[in-house]
Amino acid sequence: MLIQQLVNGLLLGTTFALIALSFNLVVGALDRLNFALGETAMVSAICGALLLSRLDLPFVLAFLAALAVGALVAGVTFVLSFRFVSADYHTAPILSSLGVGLVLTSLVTRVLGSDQRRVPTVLDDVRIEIGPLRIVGDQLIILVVAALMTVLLYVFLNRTPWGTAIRGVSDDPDMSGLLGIPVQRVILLTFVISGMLAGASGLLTGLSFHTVSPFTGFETTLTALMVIVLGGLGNITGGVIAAMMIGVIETLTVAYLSATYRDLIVFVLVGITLLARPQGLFTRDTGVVGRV
Amino acid sequence: MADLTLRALDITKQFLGVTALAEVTLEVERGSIHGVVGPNGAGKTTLLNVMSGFLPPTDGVVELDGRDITRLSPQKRVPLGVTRTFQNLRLFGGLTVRENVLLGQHSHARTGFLSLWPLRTAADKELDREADHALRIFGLTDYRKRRAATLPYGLQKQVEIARAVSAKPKLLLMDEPAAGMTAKERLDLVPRIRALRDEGITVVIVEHDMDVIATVCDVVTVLNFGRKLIEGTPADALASDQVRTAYLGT
Repeated sequence: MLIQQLVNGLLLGTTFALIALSFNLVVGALDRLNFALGETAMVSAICGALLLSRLDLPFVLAFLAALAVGALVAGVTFVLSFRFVSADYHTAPILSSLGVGLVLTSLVTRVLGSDQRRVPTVLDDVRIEIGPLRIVGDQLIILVVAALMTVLLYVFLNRTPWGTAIRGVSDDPDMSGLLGIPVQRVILLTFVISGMLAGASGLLTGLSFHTVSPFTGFETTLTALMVIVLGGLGNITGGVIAAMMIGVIETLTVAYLSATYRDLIVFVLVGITLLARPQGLFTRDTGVVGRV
Repeated sequence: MADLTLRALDITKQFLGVTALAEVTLEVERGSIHGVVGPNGAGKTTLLNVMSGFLPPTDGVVELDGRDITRLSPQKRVPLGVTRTFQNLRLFGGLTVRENVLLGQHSHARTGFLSLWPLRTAADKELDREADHALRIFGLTDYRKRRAATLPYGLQKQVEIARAVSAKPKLLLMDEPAAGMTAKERLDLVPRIRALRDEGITVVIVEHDMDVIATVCDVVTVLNFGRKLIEGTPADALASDQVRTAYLGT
């Protein structure tokens, strides 16, 4: 029934919102896309899933581990693909971060195998029923964790010295350097945080489908690109709204049309929207408060 | 010998063979407000760029407290106590006024705005107080939570000065601070620059506006066509025939 599908779609959208935030943070700090973030999410999710199913760790610990893995992978990606690449050479970081993504996928399949991994149910006995509408415990976890991370990110960016520095570097990296701010360290921090968001998104997505596969990395990147382009590149609020929209569209397509055509329908809809509004649905805010 | 904060000795700067500065020497005494004036194209901003490290001189030496800093980048000069403002604004437009000032404090001796320790320490509170103090001097307290880009131009210039001051520099280099300000803002600027001097900051002002220079400066250096025309008290310098000729062209 429709309302249930809408709620499912919005919940799926929250995981898209996290990965879109992750991409947008890097866009803000460097005006570059880190194409390895989809694989970063996948690697974190696989690690989290293994800790949950093999070691029977509590979800909180597996989640923190996924954050740590995401942070580590994104930090390494920064050093390998961005740090030493000249700012004038725009395509190099695209190719090198895509390369990091490929390496991550093969690394995981070689070392851990190409099997799908099961993500066990966490909250089995909690469920909310409002009339015919049903929200299960794991969906609640996804909602609460995603909301919590978004709020924490907002507070971090707006209320702490390092967050202020990230916004300053996004605004004007040259001026930041002239004021003596360690620009490269601030950018590394931005990558690390974006990696944590990607890791969270990966494990939460795994929790919503109760499975993770080592081949979903690039698909995640595509979805995130779809979301951030639709929401307006670098626009955080726009990205969150666009993520919800795409989550709902995907869910409704699977429920009422066909799972096979899910991506096709989303791509076509986004394409049509961009023909009408090439700048995205929500125009980019002039300031960094809107961008980051 | 006089106690000098900055000495720029025999500075020559050529751009593709065109001489912008020819053997200009500027000696800035500690605790003074030193004006550099001259008609358009006289080399004022070039000299300021050489002193702040934005341009390497073709020839000559820049010394800060007797130490040769000619080859140091602007980033390396900031921690040594040299900050500057820009003729065209370079603010973080999306950040609040207060955040702009806080970021300016980063290079601040020892403590630094960005420590790895996430909790607020006594030193942080000190930095907060200093930021609020800088905001107060420049009349920005009421605007501290506004995004810098939303302020009128004159106020944005005040924010830029406050940001440069918040680094607690020994030497503040100001590039045309009065340009684009209203008459009232220019009037306010004079006591504010004096207040900075009273706090122990040596100030160099490159300025087109003679009124501001004449009121606030202790020493004025007049440049014309990349050469030092005259140097002295504002009254002497501005009364000189050479200066009248350079400015009025008669």
